[in-house]
Amino acid sequence: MVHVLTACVPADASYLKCIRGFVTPALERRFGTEESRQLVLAIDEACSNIIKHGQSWFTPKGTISVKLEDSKKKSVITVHNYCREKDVEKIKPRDLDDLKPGGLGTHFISEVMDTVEFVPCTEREGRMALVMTKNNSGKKNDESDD
Amino acid sequence: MSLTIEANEIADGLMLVVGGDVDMESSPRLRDEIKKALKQKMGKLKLKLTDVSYIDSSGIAVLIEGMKWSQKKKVEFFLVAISDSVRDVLQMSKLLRVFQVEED
Repeated sequence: MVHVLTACVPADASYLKCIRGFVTPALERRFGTEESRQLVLAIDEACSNIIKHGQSWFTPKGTISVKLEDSKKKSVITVHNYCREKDVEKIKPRDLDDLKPGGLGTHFISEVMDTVEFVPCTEREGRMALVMTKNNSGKKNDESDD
Repeated sequence: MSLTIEANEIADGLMLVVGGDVDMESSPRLRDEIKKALKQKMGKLKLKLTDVSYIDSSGIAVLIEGMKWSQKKKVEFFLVAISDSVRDVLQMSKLLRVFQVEED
């Protein structure tokens, strides 16, 4: 059985804590405290990237939509309207040996998730959704009904 | 949790006691407090991070900036008693070795 949770908030930094609060219980239930903390960070970074880099194409009144599909084997997190199709090539983790502020968010996402991919948004042409998948390693005792 | 910052004088410097979430919304406030602190003459600036419940890349960026500004002003910059959340993110970014970290 796949549990699907969706949240939609204004694309404003003051709403990031709402996203974290929304995904944390489901991820903790599935992955335990330590691993879920990292997953929450990755999701938060993805949402922050939209707020930070989306100004040129994301209207000020835009919204961030996050979908969490949670099943026994894996959790799939989709952040809709993540970037423009033409920007995908530019999104890369930076060299960690270069000690400078900024640019760590993409590194965290790729470090924490098992797969990260961009798929075309169904609702808007030319926009891409970020799809992040975390497989359940089975470290946490799974008592769910699926 | 909302960000809290309290400045306490210590021998030869200042300790900023930070608590709550350091994220994209709140990290500019921490940056401002560090900047303000470094306007004073001091030998050491310490950030106590025991009660930081969450930190993201923008918060880590502020810590890097704080360390670099301190180096320029010949001020020793320390992270003190870091929480598990902070340690986790510093380890993921391979930055734990870059900072001077003190236990409480």
